Amino acid sequence: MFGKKAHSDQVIIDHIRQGGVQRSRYESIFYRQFAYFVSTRPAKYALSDEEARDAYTEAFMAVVDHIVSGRFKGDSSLKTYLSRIFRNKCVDRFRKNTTIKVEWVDEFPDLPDDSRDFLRQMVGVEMVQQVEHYIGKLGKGCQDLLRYSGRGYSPAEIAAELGFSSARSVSSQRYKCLGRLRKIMGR
Amino acid sequence: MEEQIDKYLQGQLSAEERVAFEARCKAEPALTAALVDFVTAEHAARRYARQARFDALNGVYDELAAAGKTTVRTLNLRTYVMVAAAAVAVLAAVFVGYQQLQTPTPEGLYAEYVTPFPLSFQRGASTDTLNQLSEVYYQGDYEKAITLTQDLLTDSTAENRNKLYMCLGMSLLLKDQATEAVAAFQQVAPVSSFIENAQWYTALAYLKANDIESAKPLFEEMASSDHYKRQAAAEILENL
Repeated sequence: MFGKKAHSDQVIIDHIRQGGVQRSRYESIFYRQFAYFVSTRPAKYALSDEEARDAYTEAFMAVVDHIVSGRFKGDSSLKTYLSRIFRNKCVDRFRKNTTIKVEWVDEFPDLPDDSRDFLRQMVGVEMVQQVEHYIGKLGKGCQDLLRYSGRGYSPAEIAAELGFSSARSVSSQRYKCLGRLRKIMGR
Repeated sequence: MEEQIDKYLQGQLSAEERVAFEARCKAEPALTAALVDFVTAEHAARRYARQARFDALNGVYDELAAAGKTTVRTLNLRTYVMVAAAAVAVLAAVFVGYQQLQTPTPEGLYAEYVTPFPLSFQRGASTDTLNQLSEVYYQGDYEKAITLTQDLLTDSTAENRNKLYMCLGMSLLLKDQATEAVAAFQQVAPVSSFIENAQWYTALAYLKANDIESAKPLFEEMASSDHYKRQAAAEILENL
């Protein structure tokens, strides 16, 4: 608010949608710009600093996802949009409803609805819930690659970030990492 | 097979290809198993990425907090209103003060234009008291002059009554007793040679008392006539 000049909404949106290094840079700028929300959270929810920080980070990640997916239409300013979601997250925390409600099929946003239904039939929920702790058993290289991949970075962007020779080698390595994961999971 | 599954999950298959893929999955247990493995691994990877990102952002926040950069001086609406009201009040006060500097107050005008009326009581006047009055008036001892003048005026046959009323009025005015001064000036007879002086000082006395409503008609009358103070009266009117 005071001090450094804030970037306009459009600049932030454009760079986040641009992906890659620019996305990382402007996510960081955007995150820092409104981090003070944590200190101005509604007092009535009596959240600790840590809880409010987590609520802010969750809200921020949701907003970035909405920017990337196009769900954020620009009907309000980013500040207003983020503030609204942050308040909702504070309410969730206040109600001890701290589980991030992301259904596992939401991890595949590019799939049509009927295919999501198909996946639900094919893949049991328990099966999905079991696998998360296995990923920590992968090597650092695979963890990094899957982290970027999971964040929606394209193979070309991952190649630039992690020093792969080409996007194709990133895709190839990703399959290998997923194969290792399946092996660790005993499949 | 993996590439096909990956394309399916990334939504990169056409509608026909997608339907065909799903039909194959239902018919081929091995493909279904591969799909399930891929989905669970992919999901785990994405959840992992999400958690890593969450932790990294929280780390950014913690750094900001450690540097004291997570709090800003924000003003709520009420505070904004109060600050704005205070700013308006200060600006108004400055404006009024400036206006006052630009426009003299009535008392300021009085101070600018008042000068003691030169009353001459010739030496060798008929009474000692009149001689004493002349002396104290010129010495600026207006309190004494008021007492002496009032003593002289108790004698209804006293000479120079109009001059004495002028002396009394002037002394009262210069002792900041404007209302009493007006009463004294009003005792000067209309046919007296002091009537114009009495009018001028009466108007000044009204200014001194901040009674603009009474002063203005007098100045207007003087300014529109051949009064000896018409120029000064016009100047004062411009500032009233």
